Amino acid sequence: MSDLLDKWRRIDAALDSDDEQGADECLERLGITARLLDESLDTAAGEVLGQAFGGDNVTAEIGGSRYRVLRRIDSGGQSEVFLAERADGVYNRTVVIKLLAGHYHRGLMQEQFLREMQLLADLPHPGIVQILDGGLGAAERPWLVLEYIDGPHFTAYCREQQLDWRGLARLVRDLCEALQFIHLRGVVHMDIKPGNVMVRDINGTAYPVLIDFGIALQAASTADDTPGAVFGSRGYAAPEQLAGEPVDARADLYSLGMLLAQACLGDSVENVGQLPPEERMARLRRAGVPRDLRDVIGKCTREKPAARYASAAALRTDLDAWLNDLPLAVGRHRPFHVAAKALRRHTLAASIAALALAGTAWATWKYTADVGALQQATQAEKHAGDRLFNFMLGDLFDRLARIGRIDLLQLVAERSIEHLARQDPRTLDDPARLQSAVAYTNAGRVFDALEESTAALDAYQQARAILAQVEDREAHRRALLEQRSRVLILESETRASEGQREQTEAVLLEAASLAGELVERHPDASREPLWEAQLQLGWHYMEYDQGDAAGEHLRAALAIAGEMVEVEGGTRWLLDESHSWQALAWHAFDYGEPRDALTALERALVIARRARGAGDDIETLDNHRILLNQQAYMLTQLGDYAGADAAMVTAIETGERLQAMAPQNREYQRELAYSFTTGGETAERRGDDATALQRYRRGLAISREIAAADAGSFTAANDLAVDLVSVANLTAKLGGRERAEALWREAAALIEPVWRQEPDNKYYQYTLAVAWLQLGRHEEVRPLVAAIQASGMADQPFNDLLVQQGFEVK
Amino acid sequence: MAPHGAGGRGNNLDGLDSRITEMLNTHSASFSPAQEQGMAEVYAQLKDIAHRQRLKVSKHGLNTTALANEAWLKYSDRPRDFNDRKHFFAYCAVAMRHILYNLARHNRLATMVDVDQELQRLPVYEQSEFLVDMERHLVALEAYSPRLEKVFTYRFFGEMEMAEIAEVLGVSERTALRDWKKARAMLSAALGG
Repeated sequence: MSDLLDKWRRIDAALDSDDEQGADECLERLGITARLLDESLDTAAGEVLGQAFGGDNVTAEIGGSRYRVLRRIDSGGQSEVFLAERADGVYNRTVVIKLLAGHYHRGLMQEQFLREMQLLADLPHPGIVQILDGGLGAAERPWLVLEYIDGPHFTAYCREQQLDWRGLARLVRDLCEALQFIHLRGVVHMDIKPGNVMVRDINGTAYPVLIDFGIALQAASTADDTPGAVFGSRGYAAPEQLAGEPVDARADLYSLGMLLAQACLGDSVENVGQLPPEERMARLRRAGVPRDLRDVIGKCTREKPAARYASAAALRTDLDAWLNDLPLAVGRHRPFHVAAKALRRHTLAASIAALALAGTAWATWKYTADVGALQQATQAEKHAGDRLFNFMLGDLFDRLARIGRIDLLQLVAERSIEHLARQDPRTLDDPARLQSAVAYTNAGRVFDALEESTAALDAYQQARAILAQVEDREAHRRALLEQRSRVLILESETRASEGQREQTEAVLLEAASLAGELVERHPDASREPLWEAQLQLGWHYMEYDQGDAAGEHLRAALAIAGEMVEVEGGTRWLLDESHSWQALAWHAFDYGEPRDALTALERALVIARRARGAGDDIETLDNHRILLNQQAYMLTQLGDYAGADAAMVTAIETGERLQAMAPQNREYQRELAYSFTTGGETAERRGDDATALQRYRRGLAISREIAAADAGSFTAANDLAVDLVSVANLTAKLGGRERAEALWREAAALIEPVWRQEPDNKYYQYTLAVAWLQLGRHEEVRPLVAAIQASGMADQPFNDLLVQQGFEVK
Repeated sequence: MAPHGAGGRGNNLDGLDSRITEMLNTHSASFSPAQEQGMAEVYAQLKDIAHRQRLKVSKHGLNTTALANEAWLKYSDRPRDFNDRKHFFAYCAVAMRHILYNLARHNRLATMVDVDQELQRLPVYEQSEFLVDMERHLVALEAYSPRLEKVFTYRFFGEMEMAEIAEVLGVSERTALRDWKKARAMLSAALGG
């Protein structure tokens, strides 16, 4: 202190001798290092100042000191917003305190305000900011205590995440739930706009939350004496709201439609709601917004309320339909599938994909119930315990996968993710955590099957994160190893389908190591995860042409399966052994002797027949059919057309039985179409043109059906075009030139727009080139022929066709 | 979290007014006892004005001069203990200093009770630390030179013009300005070191 006093004396003297110098100069000259004090109180202590003259009042206003104001977040014409926290020590919670503008008269108005507020406070919904407390302050000013939403505003979220149309539609669909919820309770929000929607991001799951019910509450409170006083926000408020006419739920749908339109266009338009409707729709079209989604927006934003959706639920249903349609366009985004589903006999990869979907139990019909019933059943069971729920979802998945109706589970999976996201992991005990992880894994499996890879990977990530919390618990080590290896194997499938080579490999290697540790520590634990990790590693290395590594892992997989058939027996292990032989067959086909490949495949078939045993299980039947298809493919490649044809006859028979057992399974349907097409080829090669034509036509009929049900799918279009060309080629050969030309034209018309969308896809190039060559459109086809020759897709029939058309063959 | 009410009466903002009055009464300001008595009233007045102004001012841009001005307008309607605007402003400055000090103490106590790292990083708590330190040094400064302390208080807490400060204290404007520089440098040295 005496040191300080000395400094003060020196400062005093220095300024006495020269009072022209500034305080900072003075300090510097005296060699005193100190930051010069701010001159303004507002800079130096603005927060405390605000607290004294704002915060203190908030506390006074809302009566009592249960909340401590931390800082002012916002103040504007409508209201003042403060960040605060519970200060009574009951529990740790950050809240938002909002003082609304305007004064309310005591009596009726006050009662009404409190009633509305109570309504919202009583009915919590994840999509609505929760009102925790509220009332009228000293000056009759309404105040609210709201939950604090820890997340970005809608626009910021969309921008940060670079959401695509589907992502946007999903957010808006979730908003519909919240809106429907309040509408049913007679509340209209009246101010839906991006600024009033925040996106809560709990455990990685995004969920939109409606905030700011200021206008709604005001409207409810002032309706009696000042109708039409509430205008909402420009560009978002519905015409009837702007005109001061009575509004209902449909006004909110108008605003929601504008919000979606604005989100679709992003920063390119400042306020989409202020554009004329035609201009708005034109811009959406130019921005590439899918037609169906534009229609949804159009319907929301009609001038007349009667022309809009009748309710948020109706809008939600439409958005859901749109969202659900796309996943049905199987294979569109997966290069693996595009390759698989494309030309000719590329049944191999499709079969592998189908196998990946297969699970444990037997065929059943009872789960084909509609989504509503399923949901109800599932919802009811949910409360019976996480375990049961997880079991059900897993079991349903297996059963529905067989009949190709995983789409029925989408809602269940999304709901369970929502439910899980609301859990506070800190409140869970270890068994509950494990169940949470299982639930995330199950949901991820559904998303993966629906080709929502991002959602699937997110879910798996959550599962892994939760498992990490019990990592050090010795008591749960076994469950942890089982669950983690399961998640990793599933994750590898998703990553593989996304073409993530390194990640897939890393995930599989980790899975193999964990599964290895599992069986080492617990001799009675299942060896299936280890087998599956080895098998998948084998396929993975084959896909990336690492033959030696692939062989090693496949032999390891076979050893496990073979041993387990001896030790445990059972259909499961027989199928696993069959799968191992099947994989080894392809390994031999690609890296070894073709004859060895056929031998291995024979063994796979023999074991598969044993697995089938007496009963015809849908899975084993499908497995058998796939093996037959593959056998036919290999035999064709080796020139054994008779053998191939025999295999195809059985494959087609099996396929027809499967078709009858699971009529909804698109995958089976497609597989049957391939069988017919391939069977047509084998018959043609044998010289049996009549049988060939008959099979081609059957294949064509199924492809037409699939393409009609799956409009917009490139794969389905290409499959159909290929079948059209096959029928046409043979028809022409048999003398039906005119009929053939009509079919080629149809094929060309079908595949040309697809090819224009993806001009580098070699399968689309091939199909279109064949059709054009047959139609004699030589000028147009030339660049395609060059591309096909360059990519090595030109096979014997193609070259024959070129020669026939007078082209040069390299 | 520890209950913030644990500190008893001293933590209760509702008791702020009476405590301010009490504190001001013991402060050796050059006001008459009647003026000192009116201090609580001034505080209430300031609060009331700030409250009404709040929706007009943006964010934290609370203008203390505007506050005092409006308070004065209200006072000048009915002549009371203040015979001129300058004395009233000086009075407001002292009130402001004590309002903030008291609040800062309260805030600091809250952070001591509740060892929440997150909370302590908030500007409001950093500023509270600053204000409590400032008060300690102002008391020392008063011991060193009562006039320096007053000049500083009027300028910093009341945002008064130099001419007005000079008039209130009965010194030349040049002296008031020199005193302000001295006090500012001294407090900077104290707070910085």
